[in-house]
Amino acid sequence: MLARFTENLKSKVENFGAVLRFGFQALRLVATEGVPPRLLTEQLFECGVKAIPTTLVSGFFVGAIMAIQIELQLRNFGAEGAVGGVATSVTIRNVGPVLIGFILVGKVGALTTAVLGTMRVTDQIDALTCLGVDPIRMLVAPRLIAAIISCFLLLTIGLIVSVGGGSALAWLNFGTNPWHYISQIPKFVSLESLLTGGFKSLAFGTLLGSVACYQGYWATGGAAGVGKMVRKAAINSLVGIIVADFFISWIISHFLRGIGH
Amino acid sequence: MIEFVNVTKRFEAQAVLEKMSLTIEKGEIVFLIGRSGVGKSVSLKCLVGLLKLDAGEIRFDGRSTAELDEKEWMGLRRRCSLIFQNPALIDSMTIYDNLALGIRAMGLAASRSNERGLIEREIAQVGLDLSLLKRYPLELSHSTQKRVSVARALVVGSEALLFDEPTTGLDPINTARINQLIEGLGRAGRTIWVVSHDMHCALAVADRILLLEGAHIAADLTPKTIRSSNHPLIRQFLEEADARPLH
Repeated sequence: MLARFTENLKSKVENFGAVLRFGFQALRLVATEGVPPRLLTEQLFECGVKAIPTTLVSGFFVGAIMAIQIELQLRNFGAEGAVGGVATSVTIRNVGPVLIGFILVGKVGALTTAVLGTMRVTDQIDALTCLGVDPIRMLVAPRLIAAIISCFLLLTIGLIVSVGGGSALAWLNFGTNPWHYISQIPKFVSLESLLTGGFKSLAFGTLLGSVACYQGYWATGGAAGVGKMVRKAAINSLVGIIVADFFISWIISHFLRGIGH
Repeated sequence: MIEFVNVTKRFEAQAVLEKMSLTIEKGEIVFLIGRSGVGKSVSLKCLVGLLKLDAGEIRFDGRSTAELDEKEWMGLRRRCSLIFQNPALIDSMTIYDNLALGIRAMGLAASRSNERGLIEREIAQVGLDLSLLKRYPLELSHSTQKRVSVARALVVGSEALLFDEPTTGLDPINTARINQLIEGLGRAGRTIWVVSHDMHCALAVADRILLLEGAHIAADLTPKTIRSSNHPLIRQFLEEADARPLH
């Protein structure tokens, strides 16, 4: 039982290492040779623009949920006036990047793995290699860069909408003036909060893009194999985002404590 | 032109090719036959560098592929094109763009009109209409896609063409078309290596027929000498071909 667990854990760590190497290889290629602009534009549309409606709906309701929950907590301390600032701070530092990451795993990660996996099992990727085309540059790099940029931009959009959702809810439910709600934000949202949220969104975009591309790129076993890889990519990305969120939060908190913040 | 010297390729513990040696001369049409899963396609993928050898050596025009850097591999793949069992056309691109991929990656055309000229010449060579160039692969039949994949190999000026199961899944009419195409390309001076288990096709087209069995070349025959072979698997292939004559 223990041996099986150890073997399983070892395989997961090796797989994670392979994903990191793969993502790094693609990013290095981007740094040295760039990304074909037409392919990047296509992927940005697929990855970012098509995810905007989902982000708008989710962002609005996340803002509203955060306002309800935080107002209930703050009321016990007579500090319900600070709901706008606290809700936005929590959203930008943690809930927003994780939520956007999850949306992209569902909307883009699964599609990416399925497309690349199908290309692999139908020999399209090998055919590109035989034609002298680098499949990493043509297929992986645009998708990875699009995932990173989209994650960051969608976080920004989602955050703005969540402020709208939170202030609307606070106004309708608690009678809080929307202007008062918004005016509390600068008191709680520091530059460090913005940097934390931004860094997390970039990290999660890199993670989910690398996982989705890696699992698809190395798919085997026909249609059933591609299906398994899509499931594996989704699970690995979701778990990866949660684990990465913990480590990034932990490192940043230690760093801030170290500089006496 | 193509030499395999004691080539060994393993997948985990299983040796698919074990000290396999063969030689294919320039301008020959050679069929490699054998049962499904014995490693016929693996040998083609080893030649173009899609799979790495565990031991042995492959030489192309006397030069060992082990010495090639990435740029030289591109040169080899230009001269020696693999046509996959699946047509392997890129679904999201038009037929024109599929054919232009290799030309652009290898910088073979001086201008767009030059590129179009190359593409139109080869699409005509495989007997297809130019109106197909604007269409997408999934709008075409499987056999038409296969012919497009041959044109994609020809357009980069390959001297050697490697066919992986070219007639699998095709009806007799389209099988005959592909066979004629292979024979025509061979007679025009190209080196042809076909991996297949279609003995009809081999008897009709090949200069030599090799049998891959037990991870190495078990027989090296011609269409004239093959009927005198006592190899049980060759006999089985011939009996199967005789039992299902082509109409």
